[in-house]
Amino acid sequence: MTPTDPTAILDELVESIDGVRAAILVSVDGFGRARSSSISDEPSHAAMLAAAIGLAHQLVVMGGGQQLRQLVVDHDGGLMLVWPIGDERVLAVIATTTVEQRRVRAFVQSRVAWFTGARS
Amino acid sequence: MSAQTFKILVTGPFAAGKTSMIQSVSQTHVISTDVVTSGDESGVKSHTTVAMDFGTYRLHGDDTRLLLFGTPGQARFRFMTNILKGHVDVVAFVIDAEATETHAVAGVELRALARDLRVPAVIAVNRCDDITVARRLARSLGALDGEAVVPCQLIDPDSGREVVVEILLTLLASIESTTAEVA
Amino acid sequence: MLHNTRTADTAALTVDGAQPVWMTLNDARERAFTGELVFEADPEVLAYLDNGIVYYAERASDVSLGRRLLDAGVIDIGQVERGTVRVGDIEHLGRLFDRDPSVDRDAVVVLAETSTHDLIAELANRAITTVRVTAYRHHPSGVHRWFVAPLDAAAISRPVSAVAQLDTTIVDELPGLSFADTDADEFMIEWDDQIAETHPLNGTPLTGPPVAVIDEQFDVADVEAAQVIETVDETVGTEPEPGSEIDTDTDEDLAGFEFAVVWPDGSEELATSDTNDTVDTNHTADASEPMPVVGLAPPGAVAPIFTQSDGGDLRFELPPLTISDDPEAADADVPDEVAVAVRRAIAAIEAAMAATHDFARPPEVITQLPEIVEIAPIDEFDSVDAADTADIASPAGLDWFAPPTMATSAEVLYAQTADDGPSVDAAADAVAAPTLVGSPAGGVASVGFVDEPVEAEHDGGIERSSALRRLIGSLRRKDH
Repeated sequence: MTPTDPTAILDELVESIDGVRAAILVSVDGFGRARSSSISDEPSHAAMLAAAIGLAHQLVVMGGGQQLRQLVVDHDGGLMLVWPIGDERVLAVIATTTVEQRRVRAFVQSRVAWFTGARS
Repeated sequence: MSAQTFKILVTGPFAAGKTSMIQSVSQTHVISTDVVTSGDESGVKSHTTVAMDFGTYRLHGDDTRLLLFGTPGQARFRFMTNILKGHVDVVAFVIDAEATETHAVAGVELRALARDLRVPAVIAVNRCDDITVARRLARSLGALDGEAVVPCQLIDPDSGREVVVEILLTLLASIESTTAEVA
Repeated sequence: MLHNTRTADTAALTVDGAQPVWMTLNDARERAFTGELVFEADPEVLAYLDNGIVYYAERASDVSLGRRLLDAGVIDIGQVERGTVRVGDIEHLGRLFDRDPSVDRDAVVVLAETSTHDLIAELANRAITTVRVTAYRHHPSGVHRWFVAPLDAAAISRPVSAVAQLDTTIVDELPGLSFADTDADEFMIEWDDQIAETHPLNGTPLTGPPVAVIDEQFDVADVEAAQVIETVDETVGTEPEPGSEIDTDTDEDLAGFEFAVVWPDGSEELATSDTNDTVDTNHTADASEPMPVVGLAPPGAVAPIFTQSDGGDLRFELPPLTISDDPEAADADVPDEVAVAVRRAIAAIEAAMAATHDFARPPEVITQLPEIVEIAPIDEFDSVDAADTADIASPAGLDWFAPPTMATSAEVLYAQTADDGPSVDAAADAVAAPTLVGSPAGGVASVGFVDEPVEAEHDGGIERSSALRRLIGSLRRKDH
């Protein structure tokens, strides 16, 4: 049965796509909502992600845009893909550099309803 | 003559009145990383700052300018305050006198703020008209005796402006006393 | 006494009479030899050394390392497949742990070490007549990378697919460390201990023990430029004890090198081998001397928006953005690792500016925003009911994954860049700290964090006071 609660979905994301190490779903105001089992429960993670996305929105304006699509942290340990989901959620995917980003995106996109809680 | 810039960090608990204070002074649109609140906080306010507010004020005719940074007061965002407090000239801690349920947490945050703080601090007590009440509250939060306390009504922009003036006077006193020492 | 007999590609050493292998290995250690030693036995034994320490050894007749790991059960076929990079006939396992984090690194390394130890122990007391020496040749399986983190282009400059292309002017400005290919004709190993021996290249007398002479040219990275990057990296540690642990003093860093270089003019630079705290305890060495660690840029560095260090001191620094017309250089040269770190920092910022890129296209010039590939936007939904925040699932008992930190990165634990030249630590002091250069919309004053030092009370007293007074006066006068 397809998992429907966010934690299970994030676990599935980590398990099914190579290169994905962990995933965190947070609210835009800095609370953790769900995370894959592969990462510890750390309140500061959620706050930092919210702050980063908040600032990234400002950068979008600075860059002449209107809509943030993604924030990517590209570092020697891998990639961190941070995506706004709807208006109130942010998903961060911690991955290796060679992760297939499209696959991750497609996975998330197909399940976005459950991340926003619109479906149950 | 070189351009002088003065920076104020405004922090304090959730919904204390920080953004209002900055807006009362800023000549430019206050850039605010405001988002929708969730959980318990949404019952108090629909939006909250997650990174910072930013406002500016510039003197007409010269390059002197004032920058105001507002950081969220919630514990989970303490790292933002920690980043900024080392880069500003004076810190203002805003507390809502009537939101008594926030006072305990405010005390924790104020003490955290005071740690490693190398610049003057001012306690702004919002929704308060009485200096005695304000001082008592400030002390109960752990404010030191020497710290300036200002009662205010930040919903009113004039009040906000007065508080900023008080903050800058505190900074001035600090600068001049140090200069006097050096001299 | 040993002397060389040069063959076409490698220098083969012959002995007058046989010499026990342990003696040869000791010689290699004293000379901090890096490369391959093939002992002519039956079957041949190939030993691979880095800085004089044997990190891996196998018999010519052994099955491949991957196969052995599989047979031993420390790795499964899926992991082998994911972890192996295949180029032609070569099956490269060097990036096994990077490509598949599920691999039990300890088990794999222990197995490799154990078989190496056993083999060397068996070989050590045998007398071998001929040893073929090839400096700087590592085992083709790439296992060298498990023990040593090289500054190789491929490891560092993985293209960032699907993200905005990078400005490469900074990389272009920093000359990479370039090594002349080891020219076999010029390569010699002096095994002769006689002090009176003259320098092989220029005949000047040697006063110390001879060292491996390799005709190389080192282009020391532009230290100053590298320093910029080092600063950025230092300030972006995400966990306690980040870059602050990295020694930024040039002299000390140079002293951390473990390779010996004899320059053409005969002057030697034999770096000391200071015992280092971050010793690779999994080392295959049968030597008591720990392998010194020359630190790399702190891994786990995030985009420098804000970072927090242990002491609560945080930095908010962003490198300057530049757009240039320079074509992105192919990463054929070994780039300075610090340059790459800055590229990545900039990429994180630019990523917020540009949409996802066409995956199939290789990296190209950035003179304008890349063509936006439309990925169907994630559907937006009505605002969610404020779900209770306490509803975070507790761990399912699986090992949790902590984001990599300075302390835990394998690269740090095993880092060794001696044979690849100066480490990032060679980047010394901070240069001008980066500033946020902004033209924010709406005419908001730019945020001057770092370029304007916090005005100390001692600063230009009178001028500052009077400016402040004017400011106060102005605020007091303001009407609605």
